[in-house]
Amino acid sequence: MEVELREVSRRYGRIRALDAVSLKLGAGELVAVLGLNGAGKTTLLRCLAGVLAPDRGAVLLNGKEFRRDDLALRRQLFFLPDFPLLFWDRSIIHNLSIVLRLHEQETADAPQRALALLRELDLLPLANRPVGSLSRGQLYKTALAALCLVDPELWLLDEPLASGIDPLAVSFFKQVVRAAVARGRTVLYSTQLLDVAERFADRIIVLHEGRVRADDRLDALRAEAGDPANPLEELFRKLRGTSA
Amino acid sequence: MKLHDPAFVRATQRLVKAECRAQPALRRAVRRNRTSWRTRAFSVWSIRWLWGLLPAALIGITQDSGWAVATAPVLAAWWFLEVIILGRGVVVNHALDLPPALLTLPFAPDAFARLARARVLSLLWRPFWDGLAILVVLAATHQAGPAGWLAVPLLAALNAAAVWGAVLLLTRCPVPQALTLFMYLLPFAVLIFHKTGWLMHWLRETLTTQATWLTLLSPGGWTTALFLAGLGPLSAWWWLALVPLLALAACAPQFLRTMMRQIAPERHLLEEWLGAEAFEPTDAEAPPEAPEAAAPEPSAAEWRDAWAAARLDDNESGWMEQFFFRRLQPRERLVLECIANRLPPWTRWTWRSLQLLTVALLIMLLLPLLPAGLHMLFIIAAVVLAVLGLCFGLPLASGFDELASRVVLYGMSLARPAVYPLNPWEFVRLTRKAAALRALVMLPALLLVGGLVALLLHKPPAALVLLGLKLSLISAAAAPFLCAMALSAVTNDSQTPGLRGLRAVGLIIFFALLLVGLGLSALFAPVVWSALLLPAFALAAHLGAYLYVRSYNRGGFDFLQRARQ
Repeated sequence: MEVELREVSRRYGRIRALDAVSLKLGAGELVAVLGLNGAGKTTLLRCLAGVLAPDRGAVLLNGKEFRRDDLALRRQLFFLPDFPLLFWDRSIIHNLSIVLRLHEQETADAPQRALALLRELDLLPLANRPVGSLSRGQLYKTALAALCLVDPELWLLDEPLASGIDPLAVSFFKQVVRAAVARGRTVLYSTQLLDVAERFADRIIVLHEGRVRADDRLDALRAEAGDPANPLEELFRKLRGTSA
Repeated sequence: MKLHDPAFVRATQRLVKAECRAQPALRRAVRRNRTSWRTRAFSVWSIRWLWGLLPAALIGITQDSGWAVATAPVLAAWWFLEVIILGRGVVVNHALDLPPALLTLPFAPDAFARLARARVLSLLWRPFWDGLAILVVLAATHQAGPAGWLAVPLLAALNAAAVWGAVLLLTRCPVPQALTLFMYLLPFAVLIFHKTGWLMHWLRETLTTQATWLTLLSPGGWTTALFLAGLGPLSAWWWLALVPLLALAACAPQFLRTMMRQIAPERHLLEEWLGAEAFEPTDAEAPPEAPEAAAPEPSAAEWRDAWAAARLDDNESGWMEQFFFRRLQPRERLVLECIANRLPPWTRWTWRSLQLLTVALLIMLLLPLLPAGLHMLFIIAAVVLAVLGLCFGLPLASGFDELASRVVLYGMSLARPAVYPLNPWEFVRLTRKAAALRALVMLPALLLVGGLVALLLHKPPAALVLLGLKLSLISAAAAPFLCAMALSAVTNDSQTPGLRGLRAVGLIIFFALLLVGLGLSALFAPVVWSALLLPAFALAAHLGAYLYVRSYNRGGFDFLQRARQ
């Protein structure tokens, strides 16, 4: 999916969480969004997902301006917040079913695919339990299973690697994301883990005080950085220096 | 009850300020992050005492309008009906729902109960203050003597007790919170239009001719009428002193029990609460799940069955729910799933409505056999029961409260519809269907009740039968706008700064005012006019909802709100 942000701004009171951000993402890109706390990462993802309305600017998906009542367009993306919004007193299976139907992805093989996903994510024994009784990591895994089942064009994930999921689920997550990118899906995720971003992204966007301060491939960032061994850490030090 | 230590807060604030002043970098950061009036924690209740002066001012202003005697108790009745519905919302949403953050802190369990009690008690003064303001204005404008002035604080206290009795009674009854908006707007409409004869014609006529009945709507009307009657010779209104005390005595113990049960200090209940709030249990605390975890992987057939069983089913309890569910399209069933975990118990509500209306009718029927001195007391009981019955039966409260299901994300709350491909207009359509069904079911009952009441009061049955019909139609037609208002409760429309926020709020107020005007006019106007006004009302309710949803869909505001605790 072609994603474009044109001069998107969003304020919370006086604070500019996003300040005239312009970006273009292409199909088959794996993009990590980094930034200090309060840099605007979550706001960027929420604006892309249509959860937040930008104060100014436009979000274009496949060249079409995003509108919330354009359900066909919205079905092509899936936003996974760091604390997923699920149907608390419904079972995991029920939640998957609802999400599939909302995204009109009810295919004949959906139950089998769900089974495989739940098996991989160690959720099978909990499949009929209400999600309200699950731990945070299990909740996230449930939402991740839903995302994988829907397999949208645009994957938007907020802090997926700080969501309480166990190491096996992290490994599974990386595997499915790589496979999705190979299928031409666009994946955008936010993280604070620099070493993860260095290894698990084709492109890195660094936000600072609501603006894009860096947007490039890692090797390019490495070439620019004073410390090529830890280019992102060096970049963050510089950013803190500019704000302080 | 303060959870924090003010001394510590002040001392730390001083230290932080000094540190930030000393360092230029920190000074800059503070400037960037400083709070404005929009972001500062601000409670609307801090100016609530000013708001309480409004009905008093309205009554004072309308004294020279020629219908002041009629409007004073009616306005007071209307105002306190709004206070009661608002108070019900506060009690349901806040008194019985404590900040979950406390559960993760070493907070003594019995302190939960103390905190809840303190919250409820802190709300008690509001109806007292409003009542006091109204009665002071009335005492001043009616040249009350010393006895009258002495009665003012006593009646204000009585009013507060009555309002709280009614609030507690209504916590067991489905009432849409959006009604408070309409109720706020009526006094404004009176203030703006009380001198424009043509616009307020029917309302004025109704207020003056039906003042006694309308006064019975809420305790504020009774106490105001009692005050006005008390200034002259004693009247039957004095009997009303018994009503609030009885209501409070009947409801308070039950409410306190519910509150204590809700916030019980027992450890296991807190744990249940933790589970329900989906807080992450640590491995050590997690209940043993060994049998479930060891369960073998299901066979393909079992898995297919489990998948099929997880689909939406139609095993709804009552016949109305079943009837409604079976007539929904698959997509509508899905949308229903998103806004309500299960259908509200409409059948049970309808039965309860019929029971309450029947008891109210029986009271009216037996009135000639009852002691004459107690007539007013029984009439009030009948009116209260009828109003409660209408709350249960008419489709004013859809029961789709799950619309408001949200997750609190770091100080912000996000409603579930935000992250799924759903169009809020789908909620409106669903609510409209449900409202049509419920209004249709209630219609024969309302026509019958209207006819019987007319017979009891020796009035022409046509007028009251028509009133029942109009009530039913208006309640169904209001559904789209009420649904939009339910959405408004979980959006940040009023928190959005600038022109967009103003536009959203302006739109709501404009349409609410329009609906109040059209609805009241349609209710009390002659048949020919009603035939024109009812479609206009339905159209306005639809247009208001459509424009509100359109504004959301085009990014005018969103579902992210500052979380309230």
